[in-house]
Amino acid sequence: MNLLVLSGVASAINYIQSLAGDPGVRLFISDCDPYCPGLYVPGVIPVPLPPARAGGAYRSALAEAIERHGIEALIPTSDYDVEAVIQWVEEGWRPPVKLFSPPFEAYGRLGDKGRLARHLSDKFPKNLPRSFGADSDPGSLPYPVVVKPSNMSGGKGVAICRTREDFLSARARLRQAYGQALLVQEYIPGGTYVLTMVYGHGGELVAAVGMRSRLTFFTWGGGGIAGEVVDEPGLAELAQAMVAESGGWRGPINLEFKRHESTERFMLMEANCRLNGYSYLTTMNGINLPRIVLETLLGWPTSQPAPPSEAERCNFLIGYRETPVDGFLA
Amino acid sequence: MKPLALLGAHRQAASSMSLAYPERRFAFLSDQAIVDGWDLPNVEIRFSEPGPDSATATAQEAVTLCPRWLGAEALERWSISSVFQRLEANGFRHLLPVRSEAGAKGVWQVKGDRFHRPDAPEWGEARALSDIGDPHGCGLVFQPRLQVTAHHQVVGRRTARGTALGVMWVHAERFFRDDVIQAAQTVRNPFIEEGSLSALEVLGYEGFFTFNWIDTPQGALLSSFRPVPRAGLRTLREHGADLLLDPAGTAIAGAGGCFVAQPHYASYTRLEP
Repeated sequence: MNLLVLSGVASAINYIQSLAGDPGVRLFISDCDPYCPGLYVPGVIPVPLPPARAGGAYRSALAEAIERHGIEALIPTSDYDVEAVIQWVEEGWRPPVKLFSPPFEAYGRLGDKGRLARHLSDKFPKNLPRSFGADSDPGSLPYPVVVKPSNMSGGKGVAICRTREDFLSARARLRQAYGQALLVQEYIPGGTYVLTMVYGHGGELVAAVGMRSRLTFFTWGGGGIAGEVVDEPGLAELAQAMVAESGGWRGPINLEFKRHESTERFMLMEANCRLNGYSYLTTMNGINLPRIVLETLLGWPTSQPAPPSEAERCNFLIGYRETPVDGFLA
Repeated sequence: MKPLALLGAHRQAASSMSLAYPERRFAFLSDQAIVDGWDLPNVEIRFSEPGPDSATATAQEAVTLCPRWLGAEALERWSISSVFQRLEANGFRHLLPVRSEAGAKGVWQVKGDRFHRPDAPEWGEARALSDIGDPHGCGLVFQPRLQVTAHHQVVGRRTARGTALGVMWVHAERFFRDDVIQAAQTVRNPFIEEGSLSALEVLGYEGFFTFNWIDTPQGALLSSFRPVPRAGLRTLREHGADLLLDPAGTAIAGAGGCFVAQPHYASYTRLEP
């Protein structure tokens, strides 16, 4: 089985760690960054590609790579790769590979923070931070607020503004760096939770695992760099309802929430149409989500073992370990 | 042999050091609750706060990895603003200007003065930086944001006997709570080597250090100095610059040592005061 995983960072690490040693899988990893660590893991076949947002150049290179390497299955793992593949499939691209084909309209909601917030706000008014237009009167905002680009990933460009002056400065700075499409939301104090799910080709839920961050990449929040598996039935129910309300899904998806420290309510931050960045945590706890994704994609029988008991679970932390390599692809 | 204490071991340099010297034992000391390294066979990890007794209380040799462990006086003396002021006063050229506030014109980069400012770098025109605060107490300096064609980092150690260092061409760096070298390789660069040695001489500095140099249209410029080592220590040792050896004379790492920072998953125990 020749599997191409698009992008070699974050959630791709889970695919690499979980599948690189599998004798039944030849694992190809692509990335536009020739220095991406995922390209240098033993057992991985690196496939350098242009950035996903390069449009036609990326699509041509990807198609050529699929043919050259005899790729049989394709799994995008970065937000930009997901965006590109879903758009091309919508435009009629039919590569000779197995891939998930989620409803395009659903992606249009789930893949954009602002659109998702607007779409879900009526049905889930208590589980969404209040949102405001980026051109709102700064004097009318309920500080503190968060300002962020609505179509970027990786925690880029997030500013927490506590005063009108902060807001004006941050808005100017973020627009200069990232463009006009900014999202402004009330700031939610509390810890970060993720519900990662895998949906089958018919939109049926195949697997769901809850996780909680104990340490985030950034001091203000963002993705988790340490955490643990959790049992939160309310979280799972809420996330699945939100996905259903958004049009359903096919393949892996995760919804990120903050649990309000006062109300304890789960407040949706965003959806990411892929496994979450630290999902290797689940493999560490006996739930191999990359394998479940692959089995679901290929139509193979799959089963999700129950998480170990709380006493037997292990937590995780990501360390960036200096690792010699023979040279670089660039 | 007692463990070598690494002060501020929440930094990438801690695992780098322990991997560079597998034959030695290390005590990771940090004031952070969650620290990487619990699976490393030559490492023990303890909670410790910055203070004059961090090392002496443990009665062992120590290497400082986070400037917060240096003490208030040393933090000020070896801040970017103070170091660059002394270098400039002594005629050192090739400095990226350092200011206490963003200039009226142009685009400016915000940097931590006494230690690295966590999270993604911030940059912009002066009016777009007015909300930038200093919640971490690192002090703020502003430098012109220039077009950079290459970034080199010099990591080393200077003692009364000599200096060991390596010049790393940094291909990728990531900015989280800590700044992480994602990919780099050792190179020989006489201009940067001599510039760094000269700067150490002018400053009269002894200890571990990191210089950052940027290649710009105006040539190579020194952009920062930190009185602590960054990661790359394993690669430096394997290519001839052993920072724990304290050799006489000058030892410079040979070219061609390449490394990436692999994301490594392991479990941890939460540290408590």
